[in-house]
Amino acid sequence: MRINVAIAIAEEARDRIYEVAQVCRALGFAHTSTLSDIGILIGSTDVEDLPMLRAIPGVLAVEMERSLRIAAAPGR
Amino acid sequence: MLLKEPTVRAAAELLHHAAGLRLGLSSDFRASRLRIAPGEGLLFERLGLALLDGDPDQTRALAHRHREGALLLEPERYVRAAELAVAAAGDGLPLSDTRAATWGLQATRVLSSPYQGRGIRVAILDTGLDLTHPDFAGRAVVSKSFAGELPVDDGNGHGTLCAGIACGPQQPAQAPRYGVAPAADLYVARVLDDNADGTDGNVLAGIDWAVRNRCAIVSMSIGTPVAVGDAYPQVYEQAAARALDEGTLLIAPAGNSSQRPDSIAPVEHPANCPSILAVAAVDQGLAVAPFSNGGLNPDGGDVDLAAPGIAIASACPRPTLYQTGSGTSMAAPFVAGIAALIAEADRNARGAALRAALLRAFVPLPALARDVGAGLVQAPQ
Repeated sequence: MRINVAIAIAEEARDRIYEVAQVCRALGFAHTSTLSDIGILIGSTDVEDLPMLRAIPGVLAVEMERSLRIAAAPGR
Repeated sequence: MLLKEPTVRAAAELLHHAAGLRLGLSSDFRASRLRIAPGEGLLFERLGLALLDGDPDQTRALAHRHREGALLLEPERYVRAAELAVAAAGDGLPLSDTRAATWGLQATRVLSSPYQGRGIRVAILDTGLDLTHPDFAGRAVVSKSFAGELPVDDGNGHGTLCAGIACGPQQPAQAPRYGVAPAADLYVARVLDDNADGTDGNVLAGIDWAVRNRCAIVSMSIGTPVAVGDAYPQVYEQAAARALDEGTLLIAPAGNSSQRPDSIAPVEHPANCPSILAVAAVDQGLAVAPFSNGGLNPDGGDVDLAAPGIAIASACPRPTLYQTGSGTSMAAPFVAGIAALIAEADRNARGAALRAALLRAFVPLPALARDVGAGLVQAPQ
């Protein structure tokens, strides 16, 4: 199953974010955007590839994308 | 006294050598025994603070070190929560909108503040903004949509309402004043669709854009529920921590899943990140709003501040022009606007320093810190 993910790049690898992204792509990560100011990659991957992505040197965390909503009170 | 030494041991040695004070550690004390005798001090090791009872000679010795910049010395103040809260609300009766301003601006003392957020960039991450609204026409607004092909123009209303609370004009066209920081530079990132739904990817892209544009403040009135015991998301925490390092403070609502008094839900994602300021909502009597979430989870899952969040009047897309909203969504932009006032007042207040200044800008409320954090946010005077 394919899921959208956000990949946080570790602090020590921030200046290598494009290289880390390249390794992620080589392992099946469909890379859609690079948020270089906050060190995050956005894209999608197969669920079974998650452990592999998390093990890449320079990757701090890989998290599944969540939906968000406004925080207006019910009945607004 | 605020300590600048990097370790507890170094701080204890400084105080002992400088003034001969005997120090205890706060972690060794039970709350009921939180007392210190003359010549003693109590070191709050996790806060980098010490409470001291020095004689005049000891106080002079510490004042000397204060002048050298080794520490910050302040006299202890007494606070009485209930009275201070009443003072904020005027005569203690519930506040109401007047012809001059909304009740929220009165409660947060915005009207008497000499600051307007001039020169401070405030980003609103939401459903966009009605760029042709008469209260924003002529205002320089920098905007970008991260919500697919949707334009920045607000097709929902929530974004315009939140932007209005944080940065609405000094004199609205046809309404009482409702905006906290009328002179702030407004940056609008559309990250939610017309149904007010969005994804982490959109929101993170909006945060990145705000950081790149050197916005001092990001107000994002969005969230998704978490369970008791859930850890904060590492990706958002990293984004928020890096934003702070770059001088951008992220502010988010605690969430609206509670049904007080029967049930209290934990502070939502992403406000549950340690580096994101979480804002609860209070009503016109300064009581916790029944829907406002509480600090149930450790490690960032606490409420930091409270702000007005019930029956908040603000802008609405044309042709309606004005609307009233309730939610912690409304409370977060109050704090964001006041952050802009503080940032204008103190040019060094950016990033972590702005967060620290904001967390000192409150009046205590007679409610649990779990529900309102430090208290009700207050504008700098």
